[in-house]
Amino acid sequence: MATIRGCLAASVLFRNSVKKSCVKYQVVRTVYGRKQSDERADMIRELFKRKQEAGPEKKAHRGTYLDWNYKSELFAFSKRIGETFMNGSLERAFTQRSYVLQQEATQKDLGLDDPDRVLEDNRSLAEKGEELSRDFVARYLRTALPCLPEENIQSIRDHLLKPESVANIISNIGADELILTSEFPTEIQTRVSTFYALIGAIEESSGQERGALFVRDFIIASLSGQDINALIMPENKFETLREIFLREGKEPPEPRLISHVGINTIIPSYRVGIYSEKKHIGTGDGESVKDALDNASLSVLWKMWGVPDAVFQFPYQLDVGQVLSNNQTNVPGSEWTREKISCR
Amino acid sequence: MANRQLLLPSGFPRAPLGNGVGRFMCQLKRVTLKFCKERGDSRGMRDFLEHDLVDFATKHPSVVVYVKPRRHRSSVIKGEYCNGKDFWISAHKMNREEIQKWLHLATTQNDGEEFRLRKMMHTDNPSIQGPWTPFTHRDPKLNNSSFPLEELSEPVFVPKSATQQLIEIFNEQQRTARHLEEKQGE
Amino acid sequence: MNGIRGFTPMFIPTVNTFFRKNVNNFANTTMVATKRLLPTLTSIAGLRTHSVVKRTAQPFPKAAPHQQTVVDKTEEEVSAIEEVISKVNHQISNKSHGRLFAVIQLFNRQWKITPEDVLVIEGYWPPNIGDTIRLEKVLLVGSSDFSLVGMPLLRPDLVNIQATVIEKRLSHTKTNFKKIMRKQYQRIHFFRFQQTMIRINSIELTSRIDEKKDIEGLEGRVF
Repeated sequence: MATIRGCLAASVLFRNSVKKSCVKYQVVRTVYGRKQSDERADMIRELFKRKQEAGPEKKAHRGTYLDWNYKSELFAFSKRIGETFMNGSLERAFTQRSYVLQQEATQKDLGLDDPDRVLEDNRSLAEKGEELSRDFVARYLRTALPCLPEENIQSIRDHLLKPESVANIISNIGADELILTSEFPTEIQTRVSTFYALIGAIEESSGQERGALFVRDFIIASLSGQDINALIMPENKFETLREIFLREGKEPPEPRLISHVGINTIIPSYRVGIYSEKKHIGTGDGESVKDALDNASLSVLWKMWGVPDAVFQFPYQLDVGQVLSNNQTNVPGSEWTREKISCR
Repeated sequence: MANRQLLLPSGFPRAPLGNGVGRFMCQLKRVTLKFCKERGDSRGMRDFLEHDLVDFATKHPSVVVYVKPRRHRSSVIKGEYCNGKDFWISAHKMNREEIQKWLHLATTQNDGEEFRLRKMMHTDNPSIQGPWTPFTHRDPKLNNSSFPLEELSEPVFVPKSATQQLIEIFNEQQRTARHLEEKQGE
Repeated sequence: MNGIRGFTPMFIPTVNTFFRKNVNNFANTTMVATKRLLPTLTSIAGLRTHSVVKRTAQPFPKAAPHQQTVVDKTEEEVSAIEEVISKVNHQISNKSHGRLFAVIQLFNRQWKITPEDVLVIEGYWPPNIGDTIRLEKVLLVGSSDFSLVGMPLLRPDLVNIQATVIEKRLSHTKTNFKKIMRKQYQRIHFFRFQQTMIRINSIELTSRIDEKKDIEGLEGRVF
């Protein structure tokens, strides 16, 4: 009995101590009677209804949150991508023209017209970065795929530098929230220009090679997981192959049906072989003879262009200096022959 | 498998932006540690802030660490990732070591999503030497032959009949007996 | 052990023939045949039924067949092998073999990998994110034209496989439910296992395949 009493006394002491430390909490925790409870439920219901009427909450920029320090964010970002920036070039790369105009307008409204406090925007950096990345991507593709016709190099480059894919890169390296712009959410074009400005800033701070390395590690690496062969598909496959053989002064390629399986089923399969000068040069399968012929011509073309299907290994770790010093352009498709490739 | 696990979002192993193909990038952008300065359930978080926070921040320069005191609310770890996803975990009544472990997890994972993996590997090139087709290792002789072929219509395996087995056994016995007689003759 | 084995009739052909008068066994016996041990008349006449399966004991194999060195003696065979090896060496030196795949052993499990693959390893594994590791237990490397098979492993100076650890996370919560009927015992355990994602960066063949080192298997080892 004595122990129970002791416990009770202890619990009272504990409760008192809690009361002392957080008075407000105790006041709020009143016991609701039945009437009060009903009122409370009504209020919650009403609040819920109004919330529903108001629709989903408007998304706020991360920069408007309490826990936000732009300078630390910039520092962490540079560490994340493993680059160093000089003289606030990183902040300049993130400053859009629209943000500068907005700031000037607010300063005018406040009556501050200080010509020294002019923000620099990223337009010059973006131009520089875009030039570098367009040039470097083409050089890289020419080094990695020396036998491919020039038109296909251009098409792969255009695919890599599509605004959507470049914008995707910038939002996936955590730089979307760092862009200083008047619009929210940021538009694709804003993100693209910021990405190029970032490359320009790297080039300005650490040199051309470092900027090119960034392009290699983020733009070229985004080719991983994508089908390169799908990007280099000529429209008339067999005709392209025929033209190449005629240009080389050889016998035109001759397609032949090698074998077929399940012709009377819903999934027939035909296999077409392509021969030139009595030599077998390629095979392809398809659900119809035309498909099989197209696939066979493609397999021959890809083999000649140095990108054999499923066997080709794209090099992602080429030396940047070697790529930058490569000034050769590939042979255009209208003049493409095997002799022109082998003499290189 | 429990029903809950079937209803979980499932997926395949993946890495954002081909991480690791180019340069490796830590995917955690920032982490916010929320805690109360007075209450006992934030004690572990306060210990962590006192002893390990600076070490953590110097070890992970690519992560912005925010510390947010809130009166009379339990402690929370919140991480934000490069792909825009969040990781939230209540650190209520956690001790210092537990908080260290959860923070380590937050820095090493790609996002806070809990999902069931359907495969333990991902490849874009499932076959290098080529998958099997009906034409693989096919005898080219068959191209010119007309079907049905008698040669191919035969059964692949015919077991020996009892008579044939008996004949074989008898022949072997005869051979053995002859062999023995020869030996005896020597 | 030898003494015990000596008494068991299974391994000594003489004793075996004494107990079982099996005609098929005569070819195996070393004992001089006597009149007493001749097969019975009925079995000679082929009237007894015999099992198809040979019931006599087989002698122990003297050496494991895979340890024997088989030397190809015909000139045609030797020249064919040399041609194949030189072709493979040519491809390796030109790097014209294209994409390579490999079978590796990692974490007590075998994987078939090719560059750019992502593997998930389940369980505690020390490497941390961002670490670049070399996978050394390589059982096989193949390209579209050739395959190199290890016995059981390939030389570490022949093949170099690099990988990067890209993520360490926990699996989804897995439940383990135990119940014993009519014993008032019921438990639910929850588990989350550690998972490590690694990215295969490159598979490279770094030397000629017919090169023989003075001491094999010690390359890259530190003593």
